Amino acid sequence: METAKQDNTDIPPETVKKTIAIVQILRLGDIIQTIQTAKSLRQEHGDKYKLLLIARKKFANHLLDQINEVFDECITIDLKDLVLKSETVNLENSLNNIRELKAKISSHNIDVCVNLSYSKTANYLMSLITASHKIGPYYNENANLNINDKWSQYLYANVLETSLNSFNLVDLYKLIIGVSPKEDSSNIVKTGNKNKVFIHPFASDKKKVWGDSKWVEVIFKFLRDNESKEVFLVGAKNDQEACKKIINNPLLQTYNNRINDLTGKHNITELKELLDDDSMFIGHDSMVSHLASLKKVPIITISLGTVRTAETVPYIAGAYNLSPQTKCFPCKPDTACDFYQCHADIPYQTVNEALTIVSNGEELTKESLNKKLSHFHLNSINITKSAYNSLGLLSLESVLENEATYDETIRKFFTITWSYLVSEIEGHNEFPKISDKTHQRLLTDMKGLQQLFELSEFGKKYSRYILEEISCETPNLNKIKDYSKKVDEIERLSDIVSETHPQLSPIINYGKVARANLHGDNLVQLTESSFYSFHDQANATSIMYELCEKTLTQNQKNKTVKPQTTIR
Amino acid sequence: MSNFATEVVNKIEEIKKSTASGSSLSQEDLEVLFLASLLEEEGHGNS
Repeated sequence: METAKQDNTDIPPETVKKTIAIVQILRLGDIIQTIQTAKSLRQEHGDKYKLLLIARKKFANHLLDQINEVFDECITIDLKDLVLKSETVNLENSLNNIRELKAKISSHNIDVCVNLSYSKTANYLMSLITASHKIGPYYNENANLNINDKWSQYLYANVLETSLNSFNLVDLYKLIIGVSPKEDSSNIVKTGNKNKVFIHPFASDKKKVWGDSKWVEVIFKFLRDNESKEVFLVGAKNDQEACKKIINNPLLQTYNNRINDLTGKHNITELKELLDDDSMFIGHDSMVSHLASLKKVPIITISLGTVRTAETVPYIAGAYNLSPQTKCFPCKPDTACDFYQCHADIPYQTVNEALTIVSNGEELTKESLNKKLSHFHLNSINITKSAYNSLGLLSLESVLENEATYDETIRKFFTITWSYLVSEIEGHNEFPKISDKTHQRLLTDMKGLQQLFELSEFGKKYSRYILEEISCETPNLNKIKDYSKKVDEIERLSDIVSETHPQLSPIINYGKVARANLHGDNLVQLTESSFYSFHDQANATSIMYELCEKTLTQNQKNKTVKPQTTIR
Repeated sequence: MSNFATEVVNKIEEIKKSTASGSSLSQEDLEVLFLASLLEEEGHGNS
């Protein structure tokens, strides 16, 4: 007894670590963003959780060093392994291999499994994994897509469907997992004079990448004007041909001794090491830009085609982004395009000037750009710099404009609205300075918001009527059906509001996704959930309305204080 | 089409029929759908 007592006091009971599994079966850039998210989770909770990453073998294998820095284990998935591992290729053997994979994943006794991939394959994979809790989309036994948590519903409704999401994907992933957003003062670009410029002029999609002639112009002018600097072209093996086209251009022959072709020559870990204190990065939206953010080197990204700048800029403060003001930018992957107007709207002279300024360790400002560029070089382009806002989220601040554009204004309002509505995150936000044009557009939005608020209130009302009818001693089924029809009608009317005021579609989409994923096992619980969903929608419209109203009032006040200069 | 592809397609047709008649998906059905989706992604170069 004595010994037993002694033992009890000497060895405290060991807490079993909870296991969080993250499914990220998309490409290299997505894995790096997931690693950055997991790092934040580690910063907030230390080693409290066991972290498991489930990723595609062909991508994860290139990033194993980075993955192992933060994850306890990485389980990889590979189609070849699943299909060709057995001696005979048939369905039965493939399914047996999938069961082996399932058993391997399930052996970790997963407490929470988070899907950050948002692909059909990942959604099916989620349905095969045994976990106490599932976050993010997964298919249920009725082949319906389930998304139970609000941030994943937001992501599904907005990131894939609209261009009005202002959250960086890393911040969204953090919010989905439950990491509080806060400014990380160490996550900032280290500026200074840089002599090595790493260029990644390639991307997975033609729409996202400039033609080689534009890159030739940038490289030519940059090397001509900066005699001490060198460029390093980086990319995968399948980029080698495109790289040769750039390097072999007659314009660059004089500077060949300062152009280094590194395409297909280094793996990702080696490339990361090459990005030293004397380096900076410029290129399109790709994995290399995210890799550069891990090394905190100065970064300039050029967003084109389908790229949603705010979502995919490298997750670091102090990085610059250039994007076109083209009306159709950003487009959708299936949008047909013949002449790539967005490519033409970013002049190479502007890119070159931005590159020279940043590589010299100077701040990119409207004044510094105006020294060598004309109005025509800057009037079709947005230049932003990333910074943490008062909510602790990474946001993009305009370098060129004092006045916020309409899109910037509405995105800012949405960020404030969603952060408060879903996570009760509040911060100090200045009223954006807006133009008269934006003023008018916000006035129109307010009408749409009013309509949407009324519809949401009707939704609440009819959901409440259903609940009241159910709670009667003798519920009238016909009445319940009539009220349900009214709720359906509200959905249709919301679609009409969405068509008239497309900028309000994030709220309408979110409401729809939420109502497609109502919580509960019976009619009462489902109707209550419907009520709360309309309640959230009403609150979102209400917050947006208030933000529009206050901004317009402030704008009006500013005008009366500062008399406007008029042209007679 | 290879035997393997035919097997997968036939199985998916079976799943479609059974879900259309109101049956819910079994774990095996979900495994097949996962495999089919993975094959589709790799085939389209979306992986």
